[in-house]
Amino acid sequence: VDASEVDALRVAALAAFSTAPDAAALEQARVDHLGRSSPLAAAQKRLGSLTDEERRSVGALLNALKADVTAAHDARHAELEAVELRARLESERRDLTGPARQTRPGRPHLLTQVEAEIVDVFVGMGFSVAEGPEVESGRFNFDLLNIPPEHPARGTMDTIYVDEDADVVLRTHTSPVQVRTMLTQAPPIAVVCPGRVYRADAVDATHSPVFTQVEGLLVAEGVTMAHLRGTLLAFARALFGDDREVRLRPSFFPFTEPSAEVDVSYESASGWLEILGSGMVDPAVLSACGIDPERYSGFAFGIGVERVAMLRHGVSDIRDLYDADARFLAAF
Amino acid sequence: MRIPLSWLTSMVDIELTLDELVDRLNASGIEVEGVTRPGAGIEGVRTARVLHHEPHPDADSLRLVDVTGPDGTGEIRVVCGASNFDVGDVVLHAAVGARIPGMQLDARTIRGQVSNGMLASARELGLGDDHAGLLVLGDDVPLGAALDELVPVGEPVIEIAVQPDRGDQLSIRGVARDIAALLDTTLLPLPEIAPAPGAAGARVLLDTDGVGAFVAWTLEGAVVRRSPLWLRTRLAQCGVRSIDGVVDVTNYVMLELGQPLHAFDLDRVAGGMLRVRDAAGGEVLRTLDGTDRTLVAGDLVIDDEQGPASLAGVMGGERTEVHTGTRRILLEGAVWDPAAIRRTSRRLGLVSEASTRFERRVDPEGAAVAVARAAHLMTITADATIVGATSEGRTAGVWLASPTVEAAAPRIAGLLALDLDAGAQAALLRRAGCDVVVTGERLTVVPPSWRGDLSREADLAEEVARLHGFAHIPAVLPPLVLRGGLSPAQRLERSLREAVLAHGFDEVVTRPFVGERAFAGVHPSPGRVLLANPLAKDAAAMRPGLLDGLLATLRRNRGQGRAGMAVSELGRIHRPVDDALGGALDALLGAAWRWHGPDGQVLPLQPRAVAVAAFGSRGGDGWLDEHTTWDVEDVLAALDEIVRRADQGPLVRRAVERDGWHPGRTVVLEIAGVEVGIAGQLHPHACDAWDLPEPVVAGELLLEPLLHPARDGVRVPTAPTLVRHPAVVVDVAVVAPEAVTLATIAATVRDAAGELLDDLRWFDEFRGPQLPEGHRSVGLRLRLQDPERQLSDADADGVLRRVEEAVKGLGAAIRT
Repeated sequence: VDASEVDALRVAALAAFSTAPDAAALEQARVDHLGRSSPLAAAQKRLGSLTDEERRSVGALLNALKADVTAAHDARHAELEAVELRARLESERRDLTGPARQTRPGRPHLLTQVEAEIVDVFVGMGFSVAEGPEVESGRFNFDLLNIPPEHPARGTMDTIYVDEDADVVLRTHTSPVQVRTMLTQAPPIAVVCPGRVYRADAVDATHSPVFTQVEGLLVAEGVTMAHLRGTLLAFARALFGDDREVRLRPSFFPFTEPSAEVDVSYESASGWLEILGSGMVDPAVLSACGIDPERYSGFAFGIGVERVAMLRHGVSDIRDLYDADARFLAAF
Repeated sequence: MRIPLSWLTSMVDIELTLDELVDRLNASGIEVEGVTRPGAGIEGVRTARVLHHEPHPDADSLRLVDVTGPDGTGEIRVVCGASNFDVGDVVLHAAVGARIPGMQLDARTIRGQVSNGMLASARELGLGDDHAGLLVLGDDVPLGAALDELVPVGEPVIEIAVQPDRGDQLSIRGVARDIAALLDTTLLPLPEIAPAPGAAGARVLLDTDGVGAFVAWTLEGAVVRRSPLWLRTRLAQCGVRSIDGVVDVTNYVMLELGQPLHAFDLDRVAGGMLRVRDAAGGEVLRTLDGTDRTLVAGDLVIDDEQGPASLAGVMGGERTEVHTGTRRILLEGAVWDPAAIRRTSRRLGLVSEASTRFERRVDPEGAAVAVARAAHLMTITADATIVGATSEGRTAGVWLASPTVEAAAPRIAGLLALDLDAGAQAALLRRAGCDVVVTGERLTVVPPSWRGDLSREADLAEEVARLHGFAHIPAVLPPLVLRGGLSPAQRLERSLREAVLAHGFDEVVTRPFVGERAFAGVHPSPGRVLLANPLAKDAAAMRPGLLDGLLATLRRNRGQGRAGMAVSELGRIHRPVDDALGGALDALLGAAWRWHGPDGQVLPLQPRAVAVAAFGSRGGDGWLDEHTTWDVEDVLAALDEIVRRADQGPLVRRAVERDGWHPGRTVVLEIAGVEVGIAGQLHPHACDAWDLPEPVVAGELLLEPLLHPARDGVRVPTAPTLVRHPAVVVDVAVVAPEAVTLATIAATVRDAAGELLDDLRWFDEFRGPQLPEGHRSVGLRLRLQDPERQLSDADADGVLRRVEEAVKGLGAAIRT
């Protein structure tokens, strides 16, 4: 073989590869030009019959030919593979603009979210979380909170009773949890008490016989009304925005003295919205719970979770929170 | 409590605009609920005398009436639908061109007769609710006078809410007094009162400590007639109905001074004497509203010689009531024990203007002035002559005391975080009417008789802050150095909630009440925590389980046309103390999970639980896949994950047949042999009852067994050893009788495979003629690994042989 023959082989092989339309044709071309019975293989077999010198020069020619032809094959192979992959991928085309098939995780209820958000604000300030029963003794729900037996709040118009004789009620606030805490822990005490509470109110757009509270209690030496205001200001800003202010207005609760309604500044007619009741724990309550009012003072507050949720999220009918319409649940 | 502005400013100088006054009241604990202007817009309504009237020729119910004109003379024809007047009466005429609230008058033809304006009722003028007839006036007004020049109709009336401990604000005088203190301005003198007559009045016996003062004046020669316009206007502005010139005066003075008064017809008071006593119980008294009231011990009652004549402090008796023929009046003003009045009022469900005031404490020293004020007015409104006065009193009632309060000024300043020294505090308290002696940093305070709420240092602190202004209290975060945070059990509860949600169940919050029937979940029992005063028949008891609320939720949403929904709720369930559920939880947890009252009595059971329920398509948002529905396995997956997260269990499933549940697709869930939950598919009858398409799947799990052990902390998980040697995978098919459960096969295989088993999975279930009758074949893939070495085929063969041997014990075999 001489150089011109090698060139002819190269040209033939490259032409066969480049015109092979698919992998099968390319494979046939590979067998034809690189296989055991190809002219190249035959020429290589004949090398043994040549002189050393011829073998060196022809061998080099053939090696170069083989390398070129193999490279050309591999290139064409890769090219055809890419085309085929492209075709396969094209056949696999899907319209991904539709809704994703899924099992969507459930959502926590708005009340759960807001309650947790409120609790976490106070937890961040160093408060613990205390819990208690919903069916509660009247002593814990009323007496120890300075609400005497003939107090109107204890009437069946306001309170749902389980057993009037035994004085067992559906708790009307989570304050009995504060009582339970004070009876079992020594100051300093800083707790929030989230949970469901009950009042004898028929269901309508603004009333619910069951609703949710987060009450708070701080009892320690030297607790002042400024601490109450500071704590509630922090709460209001966390829930409603850093530009909020709070306003305290004198009020009355049997278990606090002084007592204050707390308003948060708001985009309303008066510029303020009442969000919670609060006050300094009445010395009578501290005494009844075994805490020395001469040494300790404290503040307490009660936040209505429904009220916060309704204000912040534009819920106009409290029934929506308890009727579990799928559209409502999906909104939060 | 409604406060006409002109009445208020007759008692105190207020140099504020109305808006400023409202803001100031709101900021000071007197909550303004609204400002109205009854009668606003009245223009050209004048007094007129009825000169003549005759029936309308074409309408039986109408009259043609001629009344005097704007200067008190002339004749104007009006068509009128009322008939409560006669010739000579003075009425209010809205002439053509006049305005009444919401209407401008013009000449109108009514059934062929021209009406020049109209004659007005009280309601049309905004002066009361009375619309039955015309507002007929007395002779106290000139003819042709404009109504808005005679009385301040249309003026602001401020409606306030009074705090329960501030009964002293339930009067115009009381609010004026408080405003004077707030604004540090002048309280004007009391209105005119009658001097006490020299002669004694009726005999009065006080036989109870439930009374403080009892003042009774006698008046004679009374003429009971309608009240003058100015009096009726103020009562109307305050929302009180006008009766006559005697009763109206008692109401007027009550509104003015806060002391409820009662007028007896003295000629109807048997023996002309009164005796106040504690009711023995069983006496019957017909009150002014015509209702017979049976008294109980603890009520306070006023007797005459014939027996009960008045329910003290709550409502007068019908037998001794003033009427149009009354000539002699016994005018009574007394001060009653707030607690006694509250008890009686609450027991009878009878709340009157008087009881409202007495139960909030009436000034023990105010009765004499109020009676003298009312007597003075009755000399005008009923032409009565004052002939005698009696004043008795008892001082034993603790509620009468105005104790001297010793207070430490620095403590008050400290509590309020206000920089007010003893002198500054004393000055504020004096504005409120207190006598204050300052000794160094100590305050010795005698509150005024009308302030029953000032009895302790804390009360004084509130008053100091209120008068100084709550706005001055700074905002400072407390210097808390406490660990705080959620307890392990509380963190776990949040985590369990997340686990349920992650399985696709939306959280709902339902009202936890049930009616007579409730769908039973875990530990079914007929036990209910019944409510003594339920709000509705279908809310007669607390829920014994969570599923009822969830199924109702699914039904409502199904009714809205939803193709599918999955919901969950986490909350307390309620059972009586002796319910079997209690024993089951005791067996797992001991008794510490129960709640107790103050004396150790056990409260009804109220363990926490979680439940899930679902029906229909679970394709997710945007897909309607009728074939992929919520399955009982979804319920089991969620509940299993909860128990795994709580590091409790194992949760053992046992097939059961329960009412309401599919007999072949329901399991109870057990921990240590105790039922803690249930999961399954609802019985077709239950689906029908809830209007839900099959399949409906549901489950309920008590959380107490998971959360209670976490009270003292949860186990800290440790990292597993990750074995690097290659795993050997062995597949086996076990042919077993149908009665052998998957749980049993799995347990047997696990046990046989021993420590080398890393993972066990089901991959096939097969039934067919190749298998023995009543058998099935289940495919299991065992993944084997050893931390110390690479496993060989011989190891795999060994496991396979042990498994083959073990399943023989189940009546099963390995299929090859």
